[in-house]
Amino acid sequence: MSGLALHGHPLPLPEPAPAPQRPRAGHPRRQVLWLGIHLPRLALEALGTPTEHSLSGTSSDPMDAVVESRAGLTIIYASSPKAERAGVQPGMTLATACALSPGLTTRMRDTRAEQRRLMALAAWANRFTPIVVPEPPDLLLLEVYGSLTLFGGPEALCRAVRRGLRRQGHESRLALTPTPAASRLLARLPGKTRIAQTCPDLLAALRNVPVHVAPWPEHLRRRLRQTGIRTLGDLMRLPRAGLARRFGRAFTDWLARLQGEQTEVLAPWHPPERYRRTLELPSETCQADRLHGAAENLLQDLGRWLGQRGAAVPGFTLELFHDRRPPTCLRIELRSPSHDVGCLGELLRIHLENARLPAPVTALHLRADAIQPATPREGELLSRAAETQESWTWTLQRVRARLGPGALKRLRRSGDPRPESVGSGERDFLPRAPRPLWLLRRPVPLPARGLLHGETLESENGPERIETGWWDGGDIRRDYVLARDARGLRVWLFRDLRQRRRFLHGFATQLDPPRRHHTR
Amino acid sequence: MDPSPDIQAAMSAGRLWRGQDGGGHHPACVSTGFEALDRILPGRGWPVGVLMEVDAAPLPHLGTELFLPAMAAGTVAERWAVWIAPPWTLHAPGLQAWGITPERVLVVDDPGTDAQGLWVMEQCLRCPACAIALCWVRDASRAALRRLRLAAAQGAGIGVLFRSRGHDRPSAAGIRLRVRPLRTGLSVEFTKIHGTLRRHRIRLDRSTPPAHPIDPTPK
Repeated sequence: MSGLALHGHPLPLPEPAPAPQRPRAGHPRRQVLWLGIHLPRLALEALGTPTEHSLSGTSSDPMDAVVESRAGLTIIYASSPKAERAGVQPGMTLATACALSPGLTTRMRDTRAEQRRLMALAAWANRFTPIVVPEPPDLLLLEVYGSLTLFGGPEALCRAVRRGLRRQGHESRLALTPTPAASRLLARLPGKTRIAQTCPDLLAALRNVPVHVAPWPEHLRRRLRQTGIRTLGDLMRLPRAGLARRFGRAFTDWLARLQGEQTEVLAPWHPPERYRRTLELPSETCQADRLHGAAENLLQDLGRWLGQRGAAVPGFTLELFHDRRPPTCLRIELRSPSHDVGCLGELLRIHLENARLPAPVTALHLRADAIQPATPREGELLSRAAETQESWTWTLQRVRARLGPGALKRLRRSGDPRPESVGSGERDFLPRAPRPLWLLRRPVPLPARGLLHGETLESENGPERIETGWWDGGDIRRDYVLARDARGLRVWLFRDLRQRRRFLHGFATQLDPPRRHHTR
Repeated sequence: MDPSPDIQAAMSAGRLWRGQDGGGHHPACVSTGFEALDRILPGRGWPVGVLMEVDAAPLPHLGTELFLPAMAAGTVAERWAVWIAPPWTLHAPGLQAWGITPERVLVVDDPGTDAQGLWVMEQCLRCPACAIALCWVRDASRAALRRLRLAAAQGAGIGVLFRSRGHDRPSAAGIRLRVRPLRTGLSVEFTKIHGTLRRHRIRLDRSTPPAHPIDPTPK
């Protein structure tokens, strides 16, 4: 901090910090080449189905533009080539765009779909280099220096990338330069692919780039325009210290990174690990035993795979392939991630038993995504309780798998005095009179044949008046009594004070609960 | 008449099996909560890890309360209680009156078929986290009963099966009881208690408050 304002000039730029991600300690000046891939219509392409797109060619676009709301206005975010020819540009309001192209079809922007698409493309780009950096919303950076020979030089590599992207339905613009900042900037420029392998080439390529394309805020760009600076070349000729004073340190840092004077540290992205295995059956079969056996083999393999990584899966999918029919898909979700092959197998067995197979199965495919690190078992002391809890979780999962997700119900405390209410109040309501253990699903008007014996009923206590619920439409006004019929069966009845009728509503236990001593 | 010293010695060493009270060797038991019942059961309570069968008439819910204190003890110990295909809806305040924690109770209202219900019961009983499972079915095969008995033994829980048929046939259940309503409570007849030859029939009475007749015709 001491010499910061020496003679009114900021300090020279600090030495570039070595990148911690890659072991480059021995080669501080190792050559790098960054391929910037800009996807100008990703917003549009992410909403369409790319495979369909490429099959039918780009002539039949599913829609013309993607819009987003900005400050209460609907603005065009991206437009198709067809719409662009009609004059529709990103940044226009929807009204203007519709005036230019009356039949315009639009859809709302889906940033999550874009993100998913970008990540899928990043995974695809891993075939060119292990160092891929996706930069949402629409840019990929690939460090490709080491891959140039393999792919036959920079031009051939760029062609291969473009071809691959086009096949997936994506329009792309590329730039290959020694710095990520320059690749980012140049990839956004329209026109042909720009390749600058050395720093002098890069400076030459940057010289004619207009300043308005740079990623700066509008007021900065306006000030540059007012100063008479038109291109990056103009800017780079100016003394760095003066620029820093006038436009800030971030600005000059960016210029330094652009020209490779300062190293930009990027964290490479790794595709999530996924398990995919297919097992072809020797002959097609519907037999449960053989399917179980094959699925068991796949699960054993998954277990080994997880074991090597110390990982667990939160769920998995088994696909059963049929001849000339769409595959049957079994999705098994777990309540907590697991790597216990025995338990997974038992759960899968239930799912297989429940599955209706439309045709014999020719092959099985097991896949598991979203691998998580397995939680190690606790010490010996705690493991017993944890094990019991885990086995209970598995039991409930098996029951849910066989009977359906809604089969198991928890009994909830009711904070509402109405017997029918299934309220989930936190507080317990304290009934004034003892409540029965059993309720009929709905009250039965008396005399109830079959349930009660004889017409003589004797009341034991009560009545408890329940008069409530006027606020939510479940308005009741009843006098409840505990009574017994001629056989001694204890029943819970009420007289509806509105309908002036008696109803049977439940059964009490024949014996009373023991008097409870409240210790708390 | 006192047994001879030899016999007494054999009894105290646990080498003699007595048909009358099951000898001195009992599995772990949970108090039933009813003193009269505890007195006649060999281990002074419901044996743990045993399947029980209830013949309840005229209505299928009768006799449930015999297991509620044991259920309360289980839920307080943070184990689970499962009700499978209960004949009516359970009312939470009614369960709480018996000291049962509602959060530890799971209900399978409609398992679909008897076989499914028995399967769920078996799954639950096998797990040591389940203290007690009650299940209502029309009937159960001998094989299903044997499976349940093994499951109960494995998980050390209490399995109670209420079935409406098949009470005249032999069963793998360790304890079988017949429950009938009385004006003052319940009559419980043990038709089988594993390990003893005794057949007990007892009356369980509640302290009866004075009852007065209800006019059946509404006013």
